[in-house]
Amino acid sequence: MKNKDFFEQISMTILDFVLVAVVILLGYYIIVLKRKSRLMAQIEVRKMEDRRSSFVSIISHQLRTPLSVIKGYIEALLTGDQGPLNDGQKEYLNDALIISRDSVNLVNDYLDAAKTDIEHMTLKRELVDLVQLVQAEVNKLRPLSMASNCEIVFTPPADAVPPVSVDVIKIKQVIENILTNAIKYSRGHGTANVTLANRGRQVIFSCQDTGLGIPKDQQADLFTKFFRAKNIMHRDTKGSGLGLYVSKLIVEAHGGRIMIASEENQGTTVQFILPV
Amino acid sequence: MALPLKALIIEDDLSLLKIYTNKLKLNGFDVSMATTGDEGVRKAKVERPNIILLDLILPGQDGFQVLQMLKSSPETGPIPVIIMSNLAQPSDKQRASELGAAGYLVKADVSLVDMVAKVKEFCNQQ
Repeated sequence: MKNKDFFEQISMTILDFVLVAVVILLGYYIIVLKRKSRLMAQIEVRKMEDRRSSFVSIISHQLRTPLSVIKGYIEALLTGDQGPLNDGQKEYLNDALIISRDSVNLVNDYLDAAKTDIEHMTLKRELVDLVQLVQAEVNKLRPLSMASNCEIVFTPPADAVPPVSVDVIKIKQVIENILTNAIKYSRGHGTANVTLANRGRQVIFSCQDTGLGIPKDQQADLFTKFFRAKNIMHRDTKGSGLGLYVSKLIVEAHGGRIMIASEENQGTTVQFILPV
Repeated sequence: MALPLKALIIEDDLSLLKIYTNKLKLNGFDVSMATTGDEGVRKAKVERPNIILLDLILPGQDGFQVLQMLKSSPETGPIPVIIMSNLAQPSDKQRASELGAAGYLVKADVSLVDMVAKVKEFCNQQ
């Protein structure tokens, strides 16, 4: 009997010890978890600041470049590079030079304001026939697609699509971004198949192209500001890298979602879903 | 008679390339051009210009990578490089300076006359 009590006591002590150890470990785990989440939040804030800074930097660059060209031509004329000017010509060119310089300053000011506003989007909703909207966008981009040897084929849905409450201008912007990407990165030939489907309480827009595609290792960054795939940067440095980022903001502001599936050198499928 | 000073411009915007080239030629420079970083580095090694004007946003290798390549090569390292860019963030300027750029001009802000003056100044320092 004594032995039994002794073993019971021992096992109770061990149990207590284990319990205390578990509580200590749990407390430690919670502290570590809290520290980690605080660190993650700090990293996220830093990332956001970096993105904001890079937004201003790259857009400033893209807007300043054409202004630099205009300014350069005016200055070259004013300094007589193409021959002497009369006083009237000089006066006009001087005025134009002042305006081009003012424009550079305006660009900077607007961008400073825009960087904070873009994330707070308001929608002006109205009921719209999306089939008509998509058809109109396809027609609008037809000249660009023909010039790029990329055929856009829109197949209207067999079933009727109910009117959807959207901000027309913004949804047009999304469709245009998607179609323009399909054309621009079509490798000089190919097709883009556009469809619209009604799935119960959702409308699904889809654009499947046969273009350059996006490398697998870069697909996670597709919807971030200024994302430009490396295989695209080798061909074209002019894009802003804001199209998909803005498209995602717009679709999500409508309560929808946007997705991309892509294979490098095979093509890309972009889909967005809007609630009806 | 002294040989004209030679400038290499690495710039992918063809309008700006034309404007800078004409302006430097009118100021007595012998000008060579490149529209990509790779072409620029190759020309710098072969032609050994007195000065290089380098854009930062270029197709393929960007200007920072090109600057690094130019500065790390014994053939091109001593050639002064002026960055000509519309990237105007202090961090860009600092990075260019750390990589060995002799000067940094923001295209939208600098006049052609000042650009030529700066190029001459760096050539005279050699």
